[in-house]
Amino acid sequence: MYRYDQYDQAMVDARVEEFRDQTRRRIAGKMTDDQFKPLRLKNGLYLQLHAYMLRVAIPYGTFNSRQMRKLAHIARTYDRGYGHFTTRQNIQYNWIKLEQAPDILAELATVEMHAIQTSGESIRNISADHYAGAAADEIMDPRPWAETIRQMTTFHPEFSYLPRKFKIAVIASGAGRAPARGPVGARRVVKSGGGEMGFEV
Amino acid sequence: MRILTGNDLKTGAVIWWTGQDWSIHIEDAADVGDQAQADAVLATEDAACRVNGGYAIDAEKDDDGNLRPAHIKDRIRALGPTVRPDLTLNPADPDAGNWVI
Repeated sequence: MYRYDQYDQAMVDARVEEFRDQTRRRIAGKMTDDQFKPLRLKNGLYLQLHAYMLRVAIPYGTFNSRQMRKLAHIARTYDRGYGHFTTRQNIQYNWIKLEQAPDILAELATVEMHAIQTSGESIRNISADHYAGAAADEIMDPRPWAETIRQMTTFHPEFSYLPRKFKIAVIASGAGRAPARGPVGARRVVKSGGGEMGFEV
Repeated sequence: MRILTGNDLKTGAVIWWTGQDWSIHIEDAADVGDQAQADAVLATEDAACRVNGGYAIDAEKDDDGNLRPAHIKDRIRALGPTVRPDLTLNPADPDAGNWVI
């Protein structure tokens, strides 16, 4: 799996501190809800029917034990002891407090995770076949392609203010395990009659 | 009657205007009268950052004197998640969800 380099870590850390300042200003009344709403949504924080909800990206559904333990720690410390994994391989915490949201993002950053582009009209978390790399019916591992798309689209200004959200899934099998049919921008790795790899989009 | 609701800015909790402060229990909600009075309270409370997305709704008291919002959305907000009775404000009442309907 991809590991952050110093530039990745610096960008994510800076984003956390930026959101901490924005949250502080909102709570202090120096920013209206209309001004703050697009900023919190850029960091995956929704206000839903009963409480705030934070959606955390898990790129192509792959994480290590350190990250899993951090997700559990966040659920126990900042939520009600659980989160919900989504069909698009994010995790959502449904009982988040606004004043604690920057601390949660800081905790996520320590294990190379974030909630950026999990909301709004952007290219969202790249999902993949959850059996990727271990499926007998796949013609290749789709995760390197998912990672390439993730790097191309994360923080890219052209993909952050789109007319509508784009949800990309990559799968290299004919099975329906990844949401590669419905979402806009879905990709299925296929092999031509001549043996060349390509994408069915 | 008209009552005020919104979400607590810091916690996101559903809250109801009591006439003096905000409460998470709809039974504490007070009649704010007409829309002009509602708007005045909401303007003050929004400026003080005590409520997020506040709005006025119609509600009525049932035969037992319990407040019941006119719209199902606000009845769900008043109770809590209908799919998890244990997470509602009446966790000991397995039939609490019937109040929403």
